[in-house]
Amino acid sequence: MSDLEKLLIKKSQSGDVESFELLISSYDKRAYNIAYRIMGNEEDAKDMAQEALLRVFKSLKDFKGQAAFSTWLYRIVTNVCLDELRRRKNEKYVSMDSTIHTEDGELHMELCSDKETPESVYERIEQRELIRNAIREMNEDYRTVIVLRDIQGFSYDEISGMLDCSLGTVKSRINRARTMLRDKLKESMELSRENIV
Amino acid sequence: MKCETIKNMMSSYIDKDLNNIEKAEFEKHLAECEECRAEYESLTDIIAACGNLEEIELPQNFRTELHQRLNEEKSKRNFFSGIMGSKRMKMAAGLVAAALVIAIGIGGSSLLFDNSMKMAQSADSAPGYGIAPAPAAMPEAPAAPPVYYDSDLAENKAKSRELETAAAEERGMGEDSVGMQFNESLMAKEMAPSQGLEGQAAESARSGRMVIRSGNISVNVENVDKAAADIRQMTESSGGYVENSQIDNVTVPQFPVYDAGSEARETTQKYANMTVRVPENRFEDIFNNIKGMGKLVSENISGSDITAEYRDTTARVDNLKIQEQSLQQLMAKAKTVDEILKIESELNRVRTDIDINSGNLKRWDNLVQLSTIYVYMRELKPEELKSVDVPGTWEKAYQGFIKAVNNVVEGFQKTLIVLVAAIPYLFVAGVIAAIGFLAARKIKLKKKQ
Repeated sequence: MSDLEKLLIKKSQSGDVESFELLISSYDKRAYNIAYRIMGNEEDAKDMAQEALLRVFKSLKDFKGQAAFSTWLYRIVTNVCLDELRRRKNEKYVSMDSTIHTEDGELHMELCSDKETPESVYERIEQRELIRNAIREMNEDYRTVIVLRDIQGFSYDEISGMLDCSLGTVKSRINRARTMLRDKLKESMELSRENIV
Repeated sequence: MKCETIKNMMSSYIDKDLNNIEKAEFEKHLAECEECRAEYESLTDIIAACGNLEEIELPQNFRTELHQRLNEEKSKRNFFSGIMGSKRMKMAAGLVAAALVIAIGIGGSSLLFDNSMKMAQSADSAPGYGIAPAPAAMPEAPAAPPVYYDSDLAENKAKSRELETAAAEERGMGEDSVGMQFNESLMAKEMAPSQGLEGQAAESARSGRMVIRSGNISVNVENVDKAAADIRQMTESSGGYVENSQIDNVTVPQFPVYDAGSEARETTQKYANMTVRVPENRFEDIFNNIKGMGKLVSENISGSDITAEYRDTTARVDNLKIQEQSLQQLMAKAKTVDEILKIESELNRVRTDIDINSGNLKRWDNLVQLSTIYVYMRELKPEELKSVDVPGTWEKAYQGFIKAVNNVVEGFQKTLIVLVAAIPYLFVAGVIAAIGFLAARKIKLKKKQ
């Protein structure tokens, strides 16, 4: 941690909003991006990222400086997102774009868009879009490790700090998540190929 | 090796988390097994694609909205000052103040009792207070106003004291962080009981915690040179050393505020900045000693825990050393020049890594064994030192509170005295008023008739 960061943390702890904003200015974009990948849409991402940063401000006095500030901040971001997802699950919340598990199997809900032109259909089968959807469909624990490791590029150590679990757990979870992602992608690629034909 | 094992190792291989032997085995299997190779390639493709997912920009109003919410949060935190803004809350605060006064009264502190006794005495010693200002025929008129005025004043004062107390409490909250840091460092001290110098740090990394400690002190002293010499002597006798010491003599022009005509004068002010390194186990004593050299302005102790990194690095060095040994054994068996060169370069790499990592370990050892104290001193003349002596927040709050209580009690007493003193006048006035009223009615009746 740099001296400047230490100073800013100290000033923020005593409630100085400007210092706090300066402190998080290099992290907020990444925080927003993490939230975006975990939540799956921009609106939720904004809410969650703001909520998380607010929580960082509130609980900054508990930050003892044992871990890096950034790790601690991203940890709060992922926690806020995961809490929200769990809460929604408990409330039997049905998002407008999600997969519902029923006794008869899986039901995928999706908003139908007006802009479903041939071009956009073509675009949708682009690999990027496919990956985005596949990530969105994953279970949130696996999705989180994919977001942190493969999209944001954090190290195993950092991830174990953020998720508060052991290095071993992180490793096996990442391995499992990647295989799952690959299987999902295989499935959807076959589907989209059928659609074209 | 089985495909299943290889599949489990895939992620670790991609993230370069395998040791050399595992890595070699993995690569060997991949060259032989087509299925695993396909799987590996599809995984790396996906991971690369994940990395290529575009980063999205923050929404335009993200920071402004957050700014607003932060400010709301801040004003929520400034609970008392926020509350004092509205009129209704002011009244509520007054009520709270009154309730506090009553609570204290019931609590029956002897202090309050003493004070009210004194009040009563002072009221006694002003003889005829209630009776004297009543010269006219309607005596309650001049007697009553001072009563209202007094009690009003008392209430106002009580309010303002309450405000002060609230503000004081808030300041107290602000200082919490310092206290916490201190606590943390105390904990750190318990956890890292390294006594001597050499080798202890490595030992405590395995058993306790490795904490780099540092402290900041700012004091006002009578004589900077002497204090600096004392600190140097203290540090050196403890086995530490002075890392940096600087004394400045700064000339400051002084412009007398009251007397615009007089010339500007100059004063010189001496400052000293010192950085000293002291053994970890003497840190607390020396810190306190420096603190006691003059009037403390601020202090701060902090600790940063490097146990995890230290352990990791130690393990890495151990691993590298084992690798080095096996490479040396391999070197003995090497036959061709090509082989020798390859092993040589690998050995080089391993040795550089060992050097870097053990260098880090040494640096940490040093940082943990020798704590750092940053001292900032300012020279003040003895009389200035005294005048700087401001009572603490709690002291002020306490005194304010006592004053407010006294004012309220005084108000009540005065009201009571005046009321009781006015009874004879009230009685006479009542009789006169009654007679007058009756007479007026009689006259009215007569007129009607």
